Amino acid sequence: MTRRTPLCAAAAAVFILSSLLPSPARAEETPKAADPAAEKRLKDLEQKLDVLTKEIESLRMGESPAAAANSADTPEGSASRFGLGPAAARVYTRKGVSIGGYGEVLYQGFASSRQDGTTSALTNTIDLSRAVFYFGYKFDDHWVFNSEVEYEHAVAASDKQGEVEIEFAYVDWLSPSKAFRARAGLLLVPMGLLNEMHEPPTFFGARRNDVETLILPTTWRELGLGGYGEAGPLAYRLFLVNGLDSGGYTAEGIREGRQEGSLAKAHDFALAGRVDFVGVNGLLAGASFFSGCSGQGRTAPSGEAVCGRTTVWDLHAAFRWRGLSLRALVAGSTVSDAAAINAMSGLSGAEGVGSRQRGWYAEAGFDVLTLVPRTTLSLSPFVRYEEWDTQAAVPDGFARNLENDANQWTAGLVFKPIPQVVVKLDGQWRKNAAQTGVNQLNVALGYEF
Amino acid sequence: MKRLAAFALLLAPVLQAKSFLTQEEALRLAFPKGATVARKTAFLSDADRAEVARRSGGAPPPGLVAFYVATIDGKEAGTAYFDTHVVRTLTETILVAVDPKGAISRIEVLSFSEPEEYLPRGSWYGQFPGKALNDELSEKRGLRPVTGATITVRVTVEAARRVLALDAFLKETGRR
Repeated sequence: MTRRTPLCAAAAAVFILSSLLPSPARAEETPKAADPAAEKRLKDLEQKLDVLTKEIESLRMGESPAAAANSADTPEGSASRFGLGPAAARVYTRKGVSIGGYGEVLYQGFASSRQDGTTSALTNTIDLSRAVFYFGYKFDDHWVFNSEVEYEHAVAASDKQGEVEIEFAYVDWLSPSKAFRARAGLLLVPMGLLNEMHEPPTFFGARRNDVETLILPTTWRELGLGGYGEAGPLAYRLFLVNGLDSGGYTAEGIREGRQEGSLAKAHDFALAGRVDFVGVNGLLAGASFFSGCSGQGRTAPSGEAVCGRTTVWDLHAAFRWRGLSLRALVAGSTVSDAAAINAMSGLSGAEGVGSRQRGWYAEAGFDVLTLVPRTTLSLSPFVRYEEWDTQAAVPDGFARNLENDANQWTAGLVFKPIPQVVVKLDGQWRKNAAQTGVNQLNVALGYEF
Repeated sequence: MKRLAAFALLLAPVLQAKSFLTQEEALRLAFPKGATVARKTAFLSDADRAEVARRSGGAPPPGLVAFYVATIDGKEAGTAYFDTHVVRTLTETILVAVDPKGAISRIEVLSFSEPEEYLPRGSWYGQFPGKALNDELSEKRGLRPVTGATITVRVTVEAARRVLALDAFLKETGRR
C-alpha cells in the first residue's frame, strides 16, 4: 500500500480545488447576474486554496505541521505583514540521522627498476583503499554528534591487512554565536590541509601527498576536547588531546605514534590548534601546531622518566579562483629525548627515531573545462612537487637512513563526470638520497556523498 | 562575582543572537523598509518546469511556487522566493531575493540541517548581490568557492540559478 505524505495529500487537494475554480474561459460563461450562493462558494474555494498552498509551502520548507496549522487558523487582522501567521515563520531544522560517505579504489603500477637501475621487485596492486561511512545526529539546534566509520583495504581479518576504524566520533555544542563552540570525543587533529578534509574529489592525486602522510600523519585523530570558532576573518580551533605514544615512533617518523582512540595511553596530553585566515573567498591560509610529551609513563634504561616532547607545526595555504587551484604547505616536527626513545624501543643505527623531521610541497592545477560555459564536467591537469626527510636530524650515536630523505614529482589528470565522482590518473617520479626511489603510475576512482 | 556578572553582560548579546532566520525575518531583510509585500502563488505545468530547468541548467522547480512581491508606492521593489533543496542527505532552505531588473539582491539561509561546518561563511553569500542569470553565475567562474563546503556551495548556486530562471519565466508569462 502506498503511504501518502502530508505534502502529497495537500498537493492533491490543491489541484482538486483549483480544478473546481472557474478558468478564465469558464468565467466568461458565468451568467452576468450574480448568484450569491455561487459567489460565496467560489470565495470559500479560493480561501481553501490559499490555505492549502501555504500549507504546502510550509511543509516543503520543513516547518512543523502544527505551526502550519496555526498559521492557517490565523484570523484575519492578526496576520503579519507578509501574510504569514505568527507561528508560520519558523523553519525548523530537521532532526535525525545524516548519512554520508566517501571511498576510493587505487591501482598502483610500479617501475621495474629503481632509481639506481637495480630491480625494484615491487608488485602492482589494486585496492579498495578505503570505504568510509559518515553518520551524524542532530539532537537539537545546539547538540550534534558526528562520526565516520572507515573500512581500509576491504577485508579486516587475521590473514588480511584491512582494518575497521572509527575515524572520528565527537559531540559538538553549538552556541548561538560562531565565536565559540565546543567539541569533545575522538577528534581530527586540526593540522594541515588534508587531515580534516580528505574526501577524494577534494584533492589532486590518486594517492594523498606524502608530506601530509609522513610529516603530518593524516588521518590523525586523538581523544580530547576543546573549542573552535570564528572571529572576524579568522577561524580557530584549540583542542586538548591525549599525547602521541613514542613507543610507536620509527625512522620513518611519528606516524605510528598515533593512538587513534584505541585504549590510548593517557599519561601525557598535548595541545593542538590552528588559526586560518578565511576573510577572502577562495583563500585559506594559516598555521597549526601540536605539542606534548609522548613518553606516556615509560622510563629510560637509566630509570629516568622520558617526556619525548613532540612538537609538530605547519604553515599552509590554498587558493582557488575560477579553474585555478593552488596549494602549498611547509611542515616540521621535533622530538626531544630521541636517544632515550630509541633506547627504550630497541632502535639503533639508521633505524633510530629522528630528532627532527621536515617536509614541504607545492601544487598547481587548472580545470580546463571552466573555459566551457554551463558544464558540470571537470578536467584538471595538475602538477605537484614535494620533499621530505623523516630523519632531518638524528641524536648523537645514530645514523640517517638516506631512503628517508626523499622528493617526488607528481603530474596527472583529475576528471569529474559529476562533482562527487572523480577519476584520477597520474605518474610519480620518486627519488631519495639512497638512490632507491621507484617511479609509479596510479589510477584511482573516488566518490563522496 | 562582579567579574562574572560583567562577563555575563558581555556575553548576553551574543547568546541572544540567532543562528538562522525565520521566514518573516528573512523577508524583512530582503525588502526595503516600508515596502508592501504580497504573497502570490503560481502553478507550473511539466512543460513550464522543464523550460525553467533548461534555462537554469539544473533541477526543475516544484509545480507549485509561492513568492513574495514587494512594492513601494505601487512600484515593484523586488521579489523573494524560498528554495528548499537537499545538500547531502538533509535539506537547506534559503531565501533568494530578486531585484526588478532580474538580478539577485540577497540570499539568506533559513535552515540548514547538515552539520554547520558545511555551511559557508556569510561573506561567501555576499558575492551574490547583482549577479544575473548568465555563465558567470557559477562556483567555477564568477563566484569564488570555499574550502570545506563544496557541496553546499554547488547546491546554493544551483538554487540561485533556478530562482532567477523562474522569476524571468513568471514575468515573461505574465504570472507575477
